[in-house]
Amino acid sequence: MAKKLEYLEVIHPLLDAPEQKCNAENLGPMRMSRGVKASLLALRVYLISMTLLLLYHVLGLAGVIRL
Amino acid sequence: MVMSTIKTIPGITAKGRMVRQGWRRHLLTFLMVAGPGLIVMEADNDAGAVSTYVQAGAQHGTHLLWLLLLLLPITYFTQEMVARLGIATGEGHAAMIYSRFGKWWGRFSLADLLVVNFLTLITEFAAIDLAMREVGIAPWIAVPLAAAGLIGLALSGGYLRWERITILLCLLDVIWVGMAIFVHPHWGSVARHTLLPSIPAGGLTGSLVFLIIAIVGTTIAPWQLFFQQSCVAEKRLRFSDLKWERLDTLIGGCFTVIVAGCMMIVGDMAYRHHLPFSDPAQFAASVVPFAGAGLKDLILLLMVNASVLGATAISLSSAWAYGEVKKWPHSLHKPVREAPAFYALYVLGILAAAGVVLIPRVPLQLVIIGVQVLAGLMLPSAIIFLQLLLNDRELLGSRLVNQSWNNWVNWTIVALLFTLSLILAAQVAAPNLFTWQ
Repeated sequence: MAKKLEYLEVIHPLLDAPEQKCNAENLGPMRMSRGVKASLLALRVYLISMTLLLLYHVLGLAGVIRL
Repeated sequence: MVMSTIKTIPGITAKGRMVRQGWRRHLLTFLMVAGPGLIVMEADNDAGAVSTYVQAGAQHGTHLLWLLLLLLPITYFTQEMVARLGIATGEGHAAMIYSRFGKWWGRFSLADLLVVNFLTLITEFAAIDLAMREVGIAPWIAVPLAAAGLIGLALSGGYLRWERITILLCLLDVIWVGMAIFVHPHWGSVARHTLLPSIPAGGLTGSLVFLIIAIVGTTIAPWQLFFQQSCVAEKRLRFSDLKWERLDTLIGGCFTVIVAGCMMIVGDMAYRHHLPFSDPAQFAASVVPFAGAGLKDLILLLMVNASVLGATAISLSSAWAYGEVKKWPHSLHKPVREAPAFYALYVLGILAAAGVVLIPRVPLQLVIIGVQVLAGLMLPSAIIFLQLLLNDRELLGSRLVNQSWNNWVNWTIVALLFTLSLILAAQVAAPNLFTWQ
């Protein structure tokens, strides 16, 4: 009985034809619930205040300002 | 008699390789896809990581090995999300944040990334300087040479060549495993401290908490999120490659954790012989009486290798992210004349960081604190955006969004990182806040 072997072509991703991706371009900003919006606002306040605090601390360590 | 049939895929004219069905096809596909996962994980074992892991071994022996085992799933789950997002969208992380969360978050994330990356780059060159001084090579020779090598690596001719050279540099880290065996650790303690979490003798002191946070911060860094997504997009990985990219990331994670563990085991030699530790280069010199000059040279060589790996990955993550947001051509596939701003950013970052290291009496300690704190601040918020993007059904559809177990795991990681980030920020802003010991 003949033994049947199947061959497949394996193509490197860089040589393959481009495929359709999930495109964010036309979607605009993400739709978020009020809770998520409020959390991101809190995160923004936290990050700004921490950045300022650290900037103040680093300037103090560098001797630019007196702590 | 053997008959063979060839299945061709309609619409594909590119050159592929013909292989039999079965494991050969799987292996070849994996080898073609692998790269971004291994590189992002192993490049994270950069100069700062070598210093942190060796210090952990030198000060606490093998007691903190369990932490690495715990960090493996955390780092894998985080990077898997990035790989999934990169394959689904074909775009980088910075571009995603910009388009889905608006300009403020886009600019904030980008600025934070660029600052942290630049400061980290300075520490990579500082480590090269330190290692080369130990073998008697002057900084004004070693640092410019390293900078030239890094620039040459990116300009050497395309993504694939860069990837192959970088993978070779990653695999050089196997030497750490050999060194760990060579220093004859107590394998029973290694196994016990890897599998059973324990606190070193002396208890939970302020400096131990700081070291644990440093280990976590070293193992999971913000640039990794940006780098792997951009790298996956650069390599044009397809939806069908996702499982192989997951495997690549998992193998990279395991390899990185094993190498990190071996660094701790090598550092443990200082602990057993009661040697002081100030930095890896000093450590390398101090072990000569116990292990010979060969081990010293290998540690210094691997320190330089770690710095070069970290520097190329970090510089590329900055250049990719900036190019994505500015919508400039930003690809290693393009020659310099077609993506001048992308290459200019890569080169300028390297030259500026190398230049800073050559300035006499530059406050490197301040730079290291800056890296730790800014990275600690940035990481939890970056993972929150990643988590929100991976739940974005409008963008990803239902097939690629996180499952509920994904979300449980990831929110736990975010909570853990946020807590550590707050402790770190508080510790740096007010060093006397934690006054145990």
